[in-house]
Amino acid sequence: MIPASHSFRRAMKRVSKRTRTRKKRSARQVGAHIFKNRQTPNGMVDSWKEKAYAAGYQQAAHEVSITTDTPPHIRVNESWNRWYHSVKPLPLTVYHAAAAKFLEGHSKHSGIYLGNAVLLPTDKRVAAIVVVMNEKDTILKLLEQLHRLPLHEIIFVVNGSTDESFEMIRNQSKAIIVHYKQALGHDVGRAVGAKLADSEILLFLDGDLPILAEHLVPFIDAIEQGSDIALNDISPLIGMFSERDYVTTVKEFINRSMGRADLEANSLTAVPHAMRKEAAQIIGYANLSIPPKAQVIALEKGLKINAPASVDVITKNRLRARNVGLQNAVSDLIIGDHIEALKTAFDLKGSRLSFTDQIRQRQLTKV
Amino acid sequence: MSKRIPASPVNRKKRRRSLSPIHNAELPKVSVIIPAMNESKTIAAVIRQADQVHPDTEVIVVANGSTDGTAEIAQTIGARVIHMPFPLGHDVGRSIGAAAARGDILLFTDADIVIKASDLIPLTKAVEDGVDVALNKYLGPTDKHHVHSVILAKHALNILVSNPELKGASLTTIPHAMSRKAINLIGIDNLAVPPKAQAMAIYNGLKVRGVHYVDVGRRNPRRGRTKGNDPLETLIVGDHLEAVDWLISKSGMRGNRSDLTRNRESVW
Repeated sequence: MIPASHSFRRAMKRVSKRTRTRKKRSARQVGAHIFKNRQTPNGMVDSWKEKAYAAGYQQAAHEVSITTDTPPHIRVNESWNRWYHSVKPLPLTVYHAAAAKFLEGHSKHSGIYLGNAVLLPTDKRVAAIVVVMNEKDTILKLLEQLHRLPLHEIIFVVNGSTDESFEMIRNQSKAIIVHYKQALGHDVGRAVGAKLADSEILLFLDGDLPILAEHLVPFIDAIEQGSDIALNDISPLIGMFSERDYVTTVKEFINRSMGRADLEANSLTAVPHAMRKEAAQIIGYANLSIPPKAQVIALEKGLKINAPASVDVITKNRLRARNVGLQNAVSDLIIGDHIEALKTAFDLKGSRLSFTDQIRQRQLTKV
Repeated sequence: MSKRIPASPVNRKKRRRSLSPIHNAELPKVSVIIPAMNESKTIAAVIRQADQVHPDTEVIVVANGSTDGTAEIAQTIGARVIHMPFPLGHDVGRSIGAAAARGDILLFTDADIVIKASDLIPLTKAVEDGVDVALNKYLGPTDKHHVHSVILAKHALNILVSNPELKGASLTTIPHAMSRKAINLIGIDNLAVPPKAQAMAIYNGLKVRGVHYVDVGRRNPRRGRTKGNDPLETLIVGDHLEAVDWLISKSGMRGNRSDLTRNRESVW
């Protein structure tokens, strides 16, 4: 068992290296590069599927039938984690295949059928926070994906909606809905949801952007692995520097100014992203309304930020009257957010941050 | 387009020509300011090109911390030389030179690269025609995924001061020319922090334009990804941050940008 998993890990490493060079070569290729280690030999996948099926069956057999209030999906997820934590890490491609087989094995014994449910690599409580404003066209698709995950809470912050978004959510889910008649304004809903949530991991989403449940797993996994904030890695989606929009350039500038060139243009402004609840508290819930400011505060406080996976939110972003064109009201607001974030950084670290000019004889310029 | 002129004149004719001193105008229209530190190889050719920019030109060399005879060469050729025995640090020479300048148009260039007069004239001409700050359109390598921090900072600053059409054109880059009006508004001391001077010019409504492309890329010894240990890179990025800080001091914490309908008081 041990030597097997050893060589297994080595194999993973080799694969991910290869993927990285490919990513560099075709950096412009758009698409969800979720699985950084896609190429896994079929034999390996099959062997893990078998093991997972057997484990699922056994776990179900060992479960004493105590009647609890815990929903079945979450109970199965707990079983899954008991097994998964003894064998992890599995590359994500294997992960989903194995989880599906685990469910199958489990259901074979327990009779609990969860359809195409997805299991999470954590026992921690997870909340999805979804900001909604007139999203009747996308909200059901989004709900469908969220229901595939063993979430402890789903919080919809419906604000300024004049369509039937609210009714649709109410009829189709047991989610917590916070309803504001008036629009809260950009990103304020996230702060409301974050403050209300009673889970250890918060997953932030927008109502206009349904994302496949499997594609949300890496963000939660990153928090489970010790990250405080897991951002969407938009780097493969934004093309050459000379072709980028203003907001993207400003995002990259702020990361570079904070000494985090490795984060490129990745930002809390973009969804999906995940955050430890405790990190949200440290940042200050109100600050989550101005995402770049929250990011600067997080970096300044030494929180761990990474960008574990890419979800294409750029080509899928719904076009609205206010966000069309190089310069639009929304981009103006986001640039304002970044100026505000820089102001926060200057207040903490001075007007040049860590970029000094000691070699300059300034006193001589006063003529 | 500019071509670099070889630093060492092979051609004897050229060498002979370089012996005749230039003549600084009594009442200059254009003042060319050239900070120099140990540039004895190029300084003569730089001065000679600068002198040809306008019939009424004065060439001011701010020789600082030079130990290789840069000041003496400049003196011999006939430039006005301001001599400082110690290094001034980046761009401080521009302030010192500008303080001594008498022209209506100030042209700034560096002593380490010979730029032909024909590539300098479009800049001074633009100022004559009403531009306040005439910039080099050179952007550096931007057709890549991860650009140099200085290129990123230049682009970001122009976006933040609401003049994104300039792309990465910057006062940090030479050559550039300025009107006397711009100098007065910016203040001579602020010329030593070029991005700040640029923010001030744009924020105050001066006409700041990229007017001519001069390739000054090859003189930069370090390009591409650096690990943040290049002191010049640190200095220039810091200059841009200082510029943003100045902008915030004038235009508020959001730089006069809308918050749209954001109800911040909904969460505490």
